[in-house]
This record gives sequence, structure tokens and C-alpha cells, in this order.
Amino acid sequence: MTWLNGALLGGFALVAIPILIHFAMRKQPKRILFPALRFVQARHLTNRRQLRVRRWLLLALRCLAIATVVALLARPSVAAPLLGDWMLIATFAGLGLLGTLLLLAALAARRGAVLWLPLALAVVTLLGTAGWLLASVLSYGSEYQVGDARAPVSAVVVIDNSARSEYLVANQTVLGRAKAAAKRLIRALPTDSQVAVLSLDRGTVFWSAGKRAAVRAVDRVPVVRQPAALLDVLLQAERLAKEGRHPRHEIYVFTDLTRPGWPEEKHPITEHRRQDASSSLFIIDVGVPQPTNGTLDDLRLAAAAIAGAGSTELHVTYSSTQPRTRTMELYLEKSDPSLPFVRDGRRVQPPRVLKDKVQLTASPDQPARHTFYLGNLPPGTHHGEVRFVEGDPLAVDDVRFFTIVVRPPWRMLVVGGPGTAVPAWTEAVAPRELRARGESPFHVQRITPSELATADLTRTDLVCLLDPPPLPDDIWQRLEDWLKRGKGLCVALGPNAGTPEQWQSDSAKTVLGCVPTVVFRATDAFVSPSGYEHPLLRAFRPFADTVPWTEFPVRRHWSVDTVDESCSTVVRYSNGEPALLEHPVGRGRVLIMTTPLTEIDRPRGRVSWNDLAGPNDWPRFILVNEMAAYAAGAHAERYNYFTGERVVLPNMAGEHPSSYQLAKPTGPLQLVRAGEGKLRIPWTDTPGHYRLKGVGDTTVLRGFSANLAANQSDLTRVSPERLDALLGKNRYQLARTLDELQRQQGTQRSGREFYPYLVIGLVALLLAEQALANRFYGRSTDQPSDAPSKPSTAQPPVAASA
Amino acid sequence: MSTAEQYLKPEVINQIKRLDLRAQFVVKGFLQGLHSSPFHGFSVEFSEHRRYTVGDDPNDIDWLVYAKTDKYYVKKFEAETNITGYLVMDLSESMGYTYRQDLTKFDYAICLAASLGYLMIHQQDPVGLVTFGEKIQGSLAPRSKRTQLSTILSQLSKLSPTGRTDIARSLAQTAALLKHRSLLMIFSDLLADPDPVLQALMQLRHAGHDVILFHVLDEAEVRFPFHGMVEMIDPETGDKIAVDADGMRDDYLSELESFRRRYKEKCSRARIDYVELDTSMPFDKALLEYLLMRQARF
Repeated sequence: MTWLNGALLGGFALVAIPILIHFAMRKQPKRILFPALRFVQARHLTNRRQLRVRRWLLLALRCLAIATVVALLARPSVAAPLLGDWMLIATFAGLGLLGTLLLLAALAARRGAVLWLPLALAVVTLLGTAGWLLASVLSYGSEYQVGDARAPVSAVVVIDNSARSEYLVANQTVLGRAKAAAKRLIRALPTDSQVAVLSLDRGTVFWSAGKRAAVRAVDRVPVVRQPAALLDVLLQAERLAKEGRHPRHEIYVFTDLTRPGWPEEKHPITEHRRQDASSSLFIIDVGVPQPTNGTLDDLRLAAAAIAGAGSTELHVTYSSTQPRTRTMELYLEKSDPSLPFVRDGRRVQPPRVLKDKVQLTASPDQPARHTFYLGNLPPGTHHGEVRFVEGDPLAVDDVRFFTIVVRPPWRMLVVGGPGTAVPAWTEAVAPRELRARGESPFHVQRITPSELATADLTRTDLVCLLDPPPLPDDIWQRLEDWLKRGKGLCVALGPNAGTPEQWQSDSAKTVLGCVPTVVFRATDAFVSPSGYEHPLLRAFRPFADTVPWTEFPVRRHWSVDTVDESCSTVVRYSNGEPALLEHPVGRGRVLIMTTPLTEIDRPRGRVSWNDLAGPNDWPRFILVNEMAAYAAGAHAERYNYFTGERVVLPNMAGEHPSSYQLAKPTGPLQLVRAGEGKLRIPWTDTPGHYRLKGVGDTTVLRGFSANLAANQSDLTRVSPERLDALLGKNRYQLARTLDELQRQQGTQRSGREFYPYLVIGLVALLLAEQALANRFYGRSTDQPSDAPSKPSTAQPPVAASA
Repeated sequence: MSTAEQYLKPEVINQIKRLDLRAQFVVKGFLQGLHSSPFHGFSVEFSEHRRYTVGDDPNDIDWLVYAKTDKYYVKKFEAETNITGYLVMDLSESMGYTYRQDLTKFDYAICLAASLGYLMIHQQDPVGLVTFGEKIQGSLAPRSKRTQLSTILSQLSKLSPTGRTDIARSLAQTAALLKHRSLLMIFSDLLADPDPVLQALMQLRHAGHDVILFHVLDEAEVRFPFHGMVEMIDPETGDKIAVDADGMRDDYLSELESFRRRYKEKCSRARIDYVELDTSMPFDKALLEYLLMRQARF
């Protein structure tokens, strides 16, 4: 608690005046003759007790009234968050005092213990509670600094400069409004105040050299596409404010109060504010209460890397805050090895070609979806974009960039065991029609197990062992070396596997990560994926619940024991046994199916292990293709990122150049070098295409795209309840205008004054005093006025007549 | 209000110094207000025997009746056909009190007594006077002659309220003093222990006397108009009490009311007329009470 006019506190000594009057200057009673004293004597004792109580009561009220007047003039104030606590203390103390008076009255009237004992207990409880509350408030309330409103402060200004701050309102961006308000605020801070400006661009945190420097720092705040979390920056601001050289710390957050900045998840700031709210926190809302915006959500490519024929699908979603029809255009860049280059200080980009155009209508509860088909793409890296023709207040989410890489078909070496229906595999991954048209994603070469020892693996991307017999160690050793270079191996175990002992070699274990133990004779078993989260099963996701695995029973399969911790089960059978396992070997990967995938005909002399390859075997068809693509590394390639993500591209020595010229969407060209087989690019803060031109004898063009995550442009306003939950109710001030902010500043700096409450209290005390005084000593209206006493003793009346 | 009637007010009658004139004006004012003659119908012959009671003179016993009835009867004379009145005045010091009125209780009582005496003499009723303090201090035998009035007035004007009082003892003495059935008009503030007083009053009634008890209090004693802290002193005993007058008022009035109610109930039971008066009240109430009593007797 702070007293704005502390010097007047000496006035509390005036409380002694009524006490002195009461004791020292007690008025002598007026003496009168009164013959009917006998009637007075009968009630005198009771009257004397009542009189004493009344005197004490009035004395107490008068002392309290004087103390209240002094307090009123001294103007006590407390930190706003503590006002409730102080009011609670005042309530308990007031009730305690009232109880004390009643207790005194009861004791004076010699009432029984039935009355005064509970009263005494209540008084002790009330005053004890008030004392305990007072002690606790004084202990933790000392953190709050209130007092002179013009004393210098240590102020940290946080500006929410996320991509959403580009929202245009009245020809000014939200960031522009925030900057203008922040500058006015900084200029209005008390002289000698210390100021720091923080934003979401992950810059260094330091105190500005002065208010002017702080204003310049505000001017320099840019829009960031991949901002730091606002709450993280706020936490940073809290810590910085604590280091301020002035005792009063203030934090000002200029934000549009949109949901991405104030997420639903728990954040350490909540606990921090709960434990230490000594810094005054002001949230200044510079956003728009009801924003209008159409958003092009994150693009979804069926495959970013296409092998063979260049065709894929591009799924787009358009959502809008209000019903609106907009035109969406799909552009693809023309591949030009010579571009981009800088001419006359300006970058010359490859030309883009309009490939498709569509009109979509979306409403708040009904987003619009559309799929673009991209076909006949020549091998190479293709950049494209989808954008709205019509604009809206927030432009940053009106365009999405994408990159597709079309590469030559993967070279697959298929090794079939004796009696294996190899075409059941090859026709699934490379159908005859596609092969004829040259659009097959796989170039298939079929060999026997014995030929594997001499086959040229250097030109092979993928080896498939279909129901293989046990292989000699040298082949396993060869496969291991080959796999470590990032290649893929698919193994489908079957009846040709022989005995488990034949798979116990270290080389085989190193490659497979597991060993077959026994042929499991299953009844009513089938492939039963527990989920489709694994990338290999991504193609099943759209119809996950309708895949008829039960129609394809598995009667025999190998039971396996894993010998390497990195070997994991991807899919199990319905009996819980592993069906498909994955084992990474170096940069390569091995997939092991424990039952054949080529049991297309009824074999002679043995039971068919499963019905996976039969009529309507589309689940097997998808599974085989996905296995082949996954093993070949198609899923590992990624060319579309979010801004701020660290991009890592494989860059094999011998296959790729060791250095590249990087053309970012904006800014100068940069030289990047590969290392450890990878090309690392951390600078993806701008949405757009990132082009890599290999520096070497031959021109190698690579690239990728970066987009702002769709949720970063979510303009939904955060609810007050969420703000309260994050920052603590009544532990921050929310303002929409600077005037409002200034009022709250005044309240926070000077504290919440008790003035109005004291005035009310004083009026109540005076009224009570007046009422009691009238009640005790007032004149009845029906009685005559008090004339001066003129007692007369008996006088001889008059002379009698003669 | 006519000129005569205004003399019923104590503050007006106070302006007249001669007691005989006071009595005359009060009675005239009173009679004018009644609009009918109080003399009408009051001259009725009356004679009787009554049972002998303790205190009667044994010489008055009618032995002929005793012979016939074997019971003691006292013979009543023709002189008793007119009502014999006694004005019984309390001379205690407390009667000399007033707080802010023009007349003290004693002045008021004397004025009232004079008026009643005047009225009775003019009705040819014999009137006597008894004054008492701690005991009977003086008495005047009842007569109906015109000169009796001046004698009574002269006696009254010489009285002065001093000392303490013993009402019960004085009334008992008065009862012993009276030989004939009489009308006793007692003027007192009754500031004494009520039980003996009531007992004495009962004794008077048992002796066959009619009693009108004029309870005269000062206006301040009835209303308790004091404020703030006051120290009250009993003029008779000198006792002092400091009280908060405002806080005490209700209690005092309640106590007084209880006191009066007690007298009223007891007197009513004994067929004693109890008349509450205070020094701010007009005199007609007392006079009317007397006439009503006389009318009831005849």
C-alpha cells in the first residue's frame, strides 16, 4: 500500500481529539432539582450501562470518522491486482469491529454467555482472518510498485510482427498501426525511462540507448513469415524487464490478438505470471474485431517426386471468413537452366505458364476443395504456384508455391525364388501398358538368385527378393554395402526360405535385422494394420476403414525374431505376428514381408500360403507399389517446406555437385556447399521457390518451395477467457486505444486508490454517528424545547383576601 | 374562549394574586363552561344509621337500634344531609417544585383547593381543612358559613411546603380525626412509598369516607423534558443521581406510568376517585371531578 500524501499520515494523531474530549473535557452534568427521583432510581443502573456503551460507541465512530478523513487526504492506493485482497481485508476488519462493538454492548448489558461467547468467537475469527490476510498481502504485495506516476520505468515493447500483421485495414497494415501506437507510447513514457523493443523475428534482446533509439527500433521491425511464438517472446520480455534498472517494470504487447499468437496449449508464461506478476503487463489490441479473409490452405501433392511418367495430383482447399467466390489459377514455371540471373540489379525469373483456372465458392463452415491434375511433366524440377486472382486484406495466404521433381524410373532388380510367380510382382509395380508407353515408375530387370552374385548393382535403385532361397554370405555382404549407399531392398519370405538355420548368418542378420524362426500355421489370420500413419501406408488412408483385408486370408507365414533394435514392425497379422518389418541399413532401407506376395496360382504339392494375390487384389497392388516406392526412397524425398523449416536435401557425392548457387525468392544469389552427403539450407523465411543450380561441368537444377503454414494466417480472435487462462485474470490490462492505455497506465502506476471507498465509508460513519447521536440524545418532536432550568422551591403563594 | 373560562388556565390565574379572587374566577369560569347549574338537585335531605366502625365515638351508638337488632349502629344527624368536605393538603417540600411552569405543585393545589372550597361553601356544604407533612400539622373544622371560606383561604395562604412527608401516617391520623362520613379531597404528589399510602386510603374508605385523590405532579415530572447529562437532586432527601436524561426518559415515563396505573387500579377497586393532574392542566378537570362525585352520592 502506498500513501500519495504520506506527510498527512501524522493526521492520525487527531484521533486523540475525541478521546481527549471524552476523558479530559467531559462536560459536567447540569444540576437540577427533581422530586420524582424515585422513578429515576429504579432504572438508573441500566441507564448508566447503556450510557457507557453509547459513549464508547459514539467515541469509536468519531475516532473512525477522523481517521477516515485523514486516510482520505493521505490517499492510500494499492496495486490494482491487490485491490480485491485489500477490500476483503477491510470487509473482515469492518465486520470484526462491528462484532467488537456488539460484544462490548453485550458485556455492558451483562448478557449471558450464550450471547457474548459466540460473539467473541466470531470477533476473534474475523479479526484473525483479517490479520492473516493482511500479513500475506504485505508479504507478496511488496513486489508491486505503485506511487508516482511520472517516475521513470523500465518498459519492454513487444510487437507482434507475424505474417498476420500484414492485414490491411483502412489502407494501413496492422503492423503499421502497432508501430504508430508503439512510437506514441514510447515518446509518452516518463523521462529517463528505459526501453527495449522486441519482436517475433528472433533478434537479439537488449535495451535501447534511449527513447529515440527505441522509436527507430520500432520503425525497423519487419513482417516475419516464420515468427517466434509470441508467448515465448513475452516470456523473454518478462525476464528482460526484471533486469531493468528502474523499480517499475512495464511490458507492452502490441498484437492483433489472433489465435495463433495465443495458442490453446499450455505455456510457461502462465506459471511465470502466476508466480511473479510484478511487471505491469499491457496488451494493446491493434487487430480487427471481425476480419474478412480468404485462405488458400496448405497444398497437398499426391507425390512430390515422380518417377517415370510425370503426372500427379495437387489438392487445394479454399476457406473463407464469409461466403465468397474467387478465381484460382495454377501456374507452372518453364524450366530454363539459364535462369534465374540478375540483370541490371533485378532478378530475371523463369517465365510461368497458366495451366489451369477454376472458380471456387467457400463459406465459413464450408471450405471449397479442388484437385488439379499435372501430367506429362518432363524429367526435372518443376516449380509452380496456385494463387487467387482477386485480392483480400491479407495477401500472404492468397498464394501457395509447390515444387515437383520428375525423375527417371527407378531401376528395380527382381529376384524370384524357384516356382515364384514373379509377374505377380512386376505387373503390379510396372504394368505392361505403362511400360509400353514408357510411363512406368520402375524399370524392372528379372534375374535368378544365382545371378545376384554377379549382377551390376551400381545402376540399381531397388532389389526385390521374392520368396528367395537362403543366400550365401557374400551376397548378403554385397547387398549390405550396396544398401548403405541409400538403396532399397524388398524381401517377401515364403516356402523357399528353407530352414531357419540357413538364415542365421551374421551377414543376413545385418541386412534383415531379424531371423525367421518357424513357419506359422495360421487359422483365420489376415493382414491387419493397426493404423495407417506410416508413410508406407499413406495410400491406404483415404479408405482406411474399408480395406477388405479379411477377404485375403493368410494361412502360412514366417514367424520372426528381431535381432536388431532398429528393426520395427510396420504391419501385423490379426494374430499379432509381424507381417511387414522395416530395417534401416545405413542410408538404405529393407522391407521384409513374412509371407509371399506372389501366391497368384495354386501351387502344386503344398498349401497356398495366402490369398493376397487373387481376384480383386487391389490392397496387395497398393501394398506392393508402396513397398517398392518406399524402399526406393520416394517417400524420403521432400521438396515442399514451411517457412522457417531447416531444409536438408540428399546430395550424394558422385551423383550431385558439391556446391550450388541458391536463388531465394528475394535477395541476392548465394553459394551453398554440400557436406556429409547432405545439402543444408536454413534460410527459408520467405515463401516462394528456392532454386539450386549446381556448380560444375554439367548444369544440375534442383529446388524446393517454402510456404507460410496455413494456420499462421488464421485471423480468428482469441477469447478473453483464453487470455485470462494464459496470463492470469486481472494480472494484465487490455486496451484498444492509447487513451484507454493511458488510463490503465495511471491506474497501474498510481495503484487503485481507496478514495471512493473511503468517501463512502466516511459518509456511512458520519450518518451512523448522527443517527446514533440522535437516537441516544436527540429530542423527541412531541416534547417542548428545553427551557433553562428554573427550579423553584415552595413559595408562599399569595395573600388571601380579607 | 370567554373571559371567565380563561381563568381555568394556571398561567392566567397566576396573574391574580388574591387567592379568594382566584377561587372565584376559577369557579365562575368553570361553571360558565358547564352551561348548567351545579346547585340543581343537590339539596336532598338525608338521614341514616350506619354500622359502627373502629374510630367512631361510642357515644354516637344508637342503643335503641342495638336493642332491636343486637348490632351496633351509629346514629346520623340531620346536619349530615349536606356533604362535609375536607381539603387535605400535602405540605411536603416536594410540593413546592416546578421546573418551568408558572405555578408550583403547591400553588396549583392551593388554587384548586380554594376553588373547591369556594364551590362548596356556595353549595352550603361544610368545608374543613387538614394540612399535613410528616403528620397532621393543622386542621380547620368544617363549616358552611360564608365566613368559613375566608378562614380557609386565609389558612391556605399562610401555608408553606417544607420538610419531608409521611402521607400514610397523616391520612391515618386524618381518618381518626373525622367523626362523620365526609368527603376527603386529598392534594398530594404522592412521592412516597405507595403501599402504606394505599393502605391508609383503604382505611379511609372503610371508615365510610369518600375520597378524591388529586395526584398533583409538575409538568416536568410528567414529561421529563431534560436533555443530556443532568444531576438530579431530590429536594426532600438531598439524594443525587447523574443520568443521561435522553436515555432515561423512556424508562422514567414507563416507571411513572406504572406508578400511576397502580394507584388508579387500587383506587378504582376501592371506589376512590383518582385524578391525575399536572401543573400545566386547567383546573376544570379537578372541579368536574368533585361535582361528579357529589352527584353520585346524592
